[in-house]
Amino acid sequence: MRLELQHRDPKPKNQRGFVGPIGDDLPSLIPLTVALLIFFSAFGFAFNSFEEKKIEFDQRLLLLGLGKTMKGDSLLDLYSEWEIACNSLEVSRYNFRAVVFTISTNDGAIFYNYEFFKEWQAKDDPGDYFTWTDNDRIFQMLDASGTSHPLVCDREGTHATIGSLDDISREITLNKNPLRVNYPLAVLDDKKFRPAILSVMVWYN
Amino acid sequence: MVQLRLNNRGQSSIMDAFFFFLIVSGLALFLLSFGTNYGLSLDEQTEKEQFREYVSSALKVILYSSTPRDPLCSLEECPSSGNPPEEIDFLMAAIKEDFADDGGLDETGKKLKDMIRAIMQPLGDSVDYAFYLYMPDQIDNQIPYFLFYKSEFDPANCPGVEQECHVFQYCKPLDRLAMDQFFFTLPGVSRTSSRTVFLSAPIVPGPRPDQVESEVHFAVWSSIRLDDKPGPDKPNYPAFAGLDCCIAGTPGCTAEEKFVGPGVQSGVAFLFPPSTTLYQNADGSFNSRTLKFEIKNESSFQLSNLQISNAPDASFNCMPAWVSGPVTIPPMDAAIEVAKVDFILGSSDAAKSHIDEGFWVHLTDEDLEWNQSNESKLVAAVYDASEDFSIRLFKKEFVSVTVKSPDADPPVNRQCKFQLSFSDPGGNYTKNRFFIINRVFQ
Repeated sequence: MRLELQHRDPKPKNQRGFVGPIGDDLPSLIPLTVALLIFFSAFGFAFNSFEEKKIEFDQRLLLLGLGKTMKGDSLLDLYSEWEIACNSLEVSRYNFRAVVFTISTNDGAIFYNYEFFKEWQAKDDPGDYFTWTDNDRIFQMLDASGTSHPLVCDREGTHATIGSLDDISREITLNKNPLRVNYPLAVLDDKKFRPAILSVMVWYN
Repeated sequence: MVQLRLNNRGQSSIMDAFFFFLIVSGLALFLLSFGTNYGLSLDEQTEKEQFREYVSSALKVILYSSTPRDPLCSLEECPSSGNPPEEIDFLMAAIKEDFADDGGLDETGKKLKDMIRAIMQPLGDSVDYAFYLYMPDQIDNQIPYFLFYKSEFDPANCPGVEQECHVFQYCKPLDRLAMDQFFFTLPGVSRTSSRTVFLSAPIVPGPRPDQVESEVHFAVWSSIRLDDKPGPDKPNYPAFAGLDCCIAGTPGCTAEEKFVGPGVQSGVAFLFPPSTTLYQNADGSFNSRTLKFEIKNESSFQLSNLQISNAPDASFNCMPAWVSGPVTIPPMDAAIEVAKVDFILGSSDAAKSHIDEGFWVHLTDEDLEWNQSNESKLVAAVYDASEDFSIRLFKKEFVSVTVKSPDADPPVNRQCKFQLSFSDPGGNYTKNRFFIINRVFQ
């Protein structure tokens, strides 16, 4: 096939509206621009979404990993096991805290998911607030020498007393997108295995 | 030959742009949908993993947590005495013991429920769950315990609450099929199970209790509505109805009532304990063994077939003896000694002199004649209230049988084995639920 291009009269009578090669393409630029805008918006949205979800997954997987490590085989009969598990954790970018809370099997006993925070409220009385350092539901376990330790682990390691813990404020922590997981645990206490709840929370540094 | 006129190109370029727009819009839509759905499956997977991990931990904690042997006590103290409980064991051990009594979990059922409730609290009301024991080899009573934590959407079933709630239900599904039909209706169930062996009183009398292969199952799923009433728009009612549930703690639906085992079969004797051995010490005295039983409610049963047999290497000829006659246990508020029996290896004349017809346990004349005529000088005798008596009602709940040694003319190294069985020809035994909770060798 042979193409033969012929240039004729630039503005013949039967080609009204022709404004030249560029002017003729101007209307087509509108859908082109809109399409590109849509595409890059969608691309930006998807990219942000991927990034956010990746961070969330990292955080979630870290949370599960921390939970599994601290939980061990769900039976905690030596404080040294808790110490070893805590010291084996290496976490960067995120802050975390793992705490073992006592629970009661009595009728009507309630476990509050917000006991993690210093503003946690133990009773129905709205004025009856407890600070984190007053939290007597944190499990205290004896080590081999007979010294009592709270079952707490964070980036600083284990703690000798509850008083040495930093307060965790619900308001501040909530802004840092905290994730939390709970696992049941049986902890040895005076020759008895007591049921308890291991709570692990991870949030942005 | 095709001729293209340059001046006509302008008309088609806008169509090109529209096609481009369409393609790019499609791509953008794809990106948007992909971005929105990205990670949903991973989300689901991590959530499932978290559930699974929680459930398997929960099962372990339930089985390994400690519990006081006295069902009325907490781990801290017994309400009756104010002191800490004397005996503490794993909850699973208490459950097994409870099951060994009569095939039910009537004594430990509530304790188990309280433990499960406490452990599952952090998951809140977002889930329903079921905990059950399954014993595939049992002919009946395949599911001796089934606890169901159920979403309740009918406020009438939510005491003290004006909206939806969760309630515990005790269920008694007939068999595996009923359970399978129920679980088939549930979406996304996370479950874990553990195998163990329970003991039960043997159906055919024998020296050892039967071993029952058992599975402990724990299943958790997101809360859904289950139809607990029949109707045309209640598709999953039949599956739920097959569970035969009632709200735990309501009249007629306590663990004590719902999980009563079949008991020991009427008219069938069983042996407990399997056997024990009496040794004679070098100084001529015998060790004694005390078998401790718990009896609930007023019960009438027959003591029979006390067998004392030779040990393979025994130099002393131990002969069997029988004790029969009705033994009536008075109401449980009688915290007194009722009767005692000594089974004596020794002189029949000496033993017979202690027989008192007015006591709860007595020997028939036939038994005595048999014993008297036997050269082995083995007799069983009934005593009145003296410190040598051997069947007694301890506190409110216990009867013990002590087999004691004779103290006269013993050759050294005598060894006898004995077995004690109970039979219940009239069915009272089963009907009134006779429990053996413990055997104690003192």
